[in-house]
Amino acid sequence: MTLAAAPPGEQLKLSQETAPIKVGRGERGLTVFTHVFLIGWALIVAIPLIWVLFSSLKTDNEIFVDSWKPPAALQFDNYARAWNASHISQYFFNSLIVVTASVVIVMVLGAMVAYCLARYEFPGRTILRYAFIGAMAVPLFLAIVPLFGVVKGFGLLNTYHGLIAVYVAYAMPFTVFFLTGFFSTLPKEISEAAFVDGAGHYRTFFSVMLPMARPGMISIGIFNALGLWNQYLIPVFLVTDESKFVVPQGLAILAATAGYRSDFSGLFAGLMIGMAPVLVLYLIFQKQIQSGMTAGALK
Amino acid sequence: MRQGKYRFLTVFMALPMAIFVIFVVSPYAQAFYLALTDWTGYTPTYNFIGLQNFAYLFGIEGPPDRFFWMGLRNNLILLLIVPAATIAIALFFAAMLNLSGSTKGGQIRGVRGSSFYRILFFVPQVISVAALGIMFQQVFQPSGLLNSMLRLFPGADPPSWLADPRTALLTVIVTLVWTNVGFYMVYFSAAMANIPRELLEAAAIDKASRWQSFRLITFPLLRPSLQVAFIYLGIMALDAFAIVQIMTIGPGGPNESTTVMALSIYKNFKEQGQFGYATAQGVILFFITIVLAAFTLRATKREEVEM
Repeated sequence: MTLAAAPPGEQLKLSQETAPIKVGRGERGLTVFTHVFLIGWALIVAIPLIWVLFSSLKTDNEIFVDSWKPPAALQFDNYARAWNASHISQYFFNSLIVVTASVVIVMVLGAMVAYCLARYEFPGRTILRYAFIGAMAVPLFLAIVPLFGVVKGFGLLNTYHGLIAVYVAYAMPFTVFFLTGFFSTLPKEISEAAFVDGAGHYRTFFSVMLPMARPGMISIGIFNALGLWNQYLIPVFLVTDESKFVVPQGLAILAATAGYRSDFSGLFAGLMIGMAPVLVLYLIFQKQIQSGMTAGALK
Repeated sequence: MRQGKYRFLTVFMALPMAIFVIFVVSPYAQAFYLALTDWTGYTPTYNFIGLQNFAYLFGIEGPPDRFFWMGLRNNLILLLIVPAATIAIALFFAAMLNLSGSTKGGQIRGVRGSSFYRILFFVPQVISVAALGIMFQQVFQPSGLLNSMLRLFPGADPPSWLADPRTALLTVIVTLVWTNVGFYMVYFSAAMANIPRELLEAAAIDKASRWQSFRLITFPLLRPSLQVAFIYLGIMALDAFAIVQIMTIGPGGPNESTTVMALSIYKNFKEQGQFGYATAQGVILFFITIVLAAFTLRATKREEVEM
């Protein structure tokens, strides 16, 4: 069940579709109609997000009375409280370690496997390809409870390296799939030339092929960084020690306990802190992220 | 030139394959066996109990597992509504963004500001489901954003959305659609951009209206993308774990009106420690997903033949 939305490695074109057409009547009406709906949906998307931002700068009382109103005075201490007292700093640090390590490792290992699959003939190659594609298609809920047993068996529950190993393992199929497409498009003559010049297999990979795959590596790197930063299901099943919680998990705990501690402004500040890194990353790389994710998530 | 090829392959692939096999392949493979045991996860040993977990689930001796079947019911409701609604809205916006601008110089242009809309509509897709779940939990609170806006209208008496069994599942549906529309809009836009321009030009020469060229050219050529979208959104509707677990009361409440199969797996795992039983539910979820995917592929294939 491979659902390749686009050949991996090929950037989806996001250019506007244009075609000549006769100037029709009622064109103005169509344009107005279009804009009404687009602005309408833009508000539906933006208002809840702006409201979270506003609420993160309000007092608790302001959040409950006429909740739609903007804050009267900006309560920046909500952020300080969320960062320190609600342990967001700890969750943030955990996420940073686990996601950074996972992304780096999965890119290196994924590139190695993809390179072998793309450019070498060997027995079992087709089976391996199908194994990776199959792993992308099967629902995680089938594996998640046995996975707990596996991780526990290795004594890796509630450890950074345990979570990193699992993240790497589950990010690997798509990384390999995407990079295999990338490596197989690189011209054969270049690696032949490298061999003729006396470079071995390793040298050819590290000094010739890997640098050429850079655009693909960047796309898949951003994709993995976002996906793993937002990962919720895996840590919820595997991480039970609160000191090792990652950001999405920490936010969920914060939301569950906000009522008892009656600190809703702190919850909103925590939400903003949790969303900020991906939003910044998205604003910088929005083109690559959109094309990478539409090519990618629909594997 | 190819000396030491197998040594090289072994060096490069041994570690990645070991990680993949241990943490991905083996749990999937184990699931089918563990579903037939009374594994609790906390004791080192467990017994093979045959189909007892499934018998319990289906209520062969005693009442069926209400929480799981309510979950299946809700998953099926989500499956009927969420993909269709998401795809309809996303397709509508993709068509608008790409086809509905002014015709400057005889060309259909994307609408003004289309790149802004494209950036904004996609934002929900990059935020974690956990954060979105919390955001909508707060939006739907009795004194949250939605009700405080509704109360601006005189005489409005908005419900407490999440606490009322009649509206709770609706909030889940709205949240899932809100989250996914932008992604599919961008996805369909990309698919539209790949449609050969000559086809639309030919249609324009034949004096086809915009609606005609959308219905007769763009839409049929989008069919493979729509098929992919249906399967992917269907799989998501069969999951919906994070949103339900974070956003709803209980979670899964009130009165199991929002629970999903995945939440039942989570609760049996986390709260009851019945790992074998939870895995059996995972096996059922797996088969339902496979059937859904096969069914969608078949159904859409037949339509293509008819075309």
